[in-house]
Amino acid sequence: MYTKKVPILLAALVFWLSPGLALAQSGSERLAIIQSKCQVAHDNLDLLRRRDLVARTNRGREYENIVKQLEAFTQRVRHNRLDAGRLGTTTQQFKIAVDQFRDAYLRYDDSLSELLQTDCRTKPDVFALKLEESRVLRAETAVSATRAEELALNYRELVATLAGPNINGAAQ
Amino acid sequence: MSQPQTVISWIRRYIRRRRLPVALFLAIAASLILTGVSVSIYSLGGFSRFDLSRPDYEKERNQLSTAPPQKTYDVTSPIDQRAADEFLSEFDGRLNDLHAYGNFRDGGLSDEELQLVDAVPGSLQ
Repeated sequence: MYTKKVPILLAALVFWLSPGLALAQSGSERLAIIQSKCQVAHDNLDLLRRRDLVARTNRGREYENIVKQLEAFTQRVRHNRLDAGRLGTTTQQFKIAVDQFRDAYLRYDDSLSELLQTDCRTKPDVFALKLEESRVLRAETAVSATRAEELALNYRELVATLAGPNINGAAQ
Repeated sequence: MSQPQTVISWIRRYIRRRRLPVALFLAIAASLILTGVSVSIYSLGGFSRFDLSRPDYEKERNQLSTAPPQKTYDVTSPIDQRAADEFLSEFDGRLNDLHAYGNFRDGGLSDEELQLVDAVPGSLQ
């Protein structure tokens, strides 16, 4: 019975270790790729940073325009003595979301800056780690941009329901 | 007379005799200090990272959206169907513009985009 159990245990041990071994092997392969393609990666990172800067600038401007539009309409609703509570709340939430987007982008841009300053030929492991950090922060920037758009759409829906028979004095 | 008072009176006499050069020197010193302060704020405050007027960013400047003229909104007129439609029409235009801009979801940091992948055997790369 003992002799039967040993091969089973050995097989189980190999099966349990093999993902880790595969990971270690693929990790070292990846580091080798990072080292060999360091300059290409740096060039692509620089291009990406520039592209993201343009996206950030264009989004930032558009968000500012939307904030002005929402604030003006909310003020007009209040002036007309209609219930602007939810409109005002949604406008404030949108402004907070825009600030969060800006902060998220700053953190992401800082991480990209550190990544670009890392020498991936001599420190591919550090580069790989910082790359993962940048990916997480880029995803967070995307989430905050989506959140801002969702809030803007909420406001749109409120205005759309405000239109029609509810206009001309009826409170929401 | 104590030594500090001697120095002060010497400085006063010097300034009285050379008012114009001293005034010019102070003006230049003040402008240099203020320039130093503003450049420090520009670089340390992180504003430089958003400055697309830097050299070598011509291509990115061309990709910026053109800033529309400053718009003032009517905030006192009655709200009717037309006002709501105008709001929605302008808003939908802005939303379409937002969708055209990058949203950081395009997998820009993937290994494929950064070309951190091994070449497939037999493929041209």
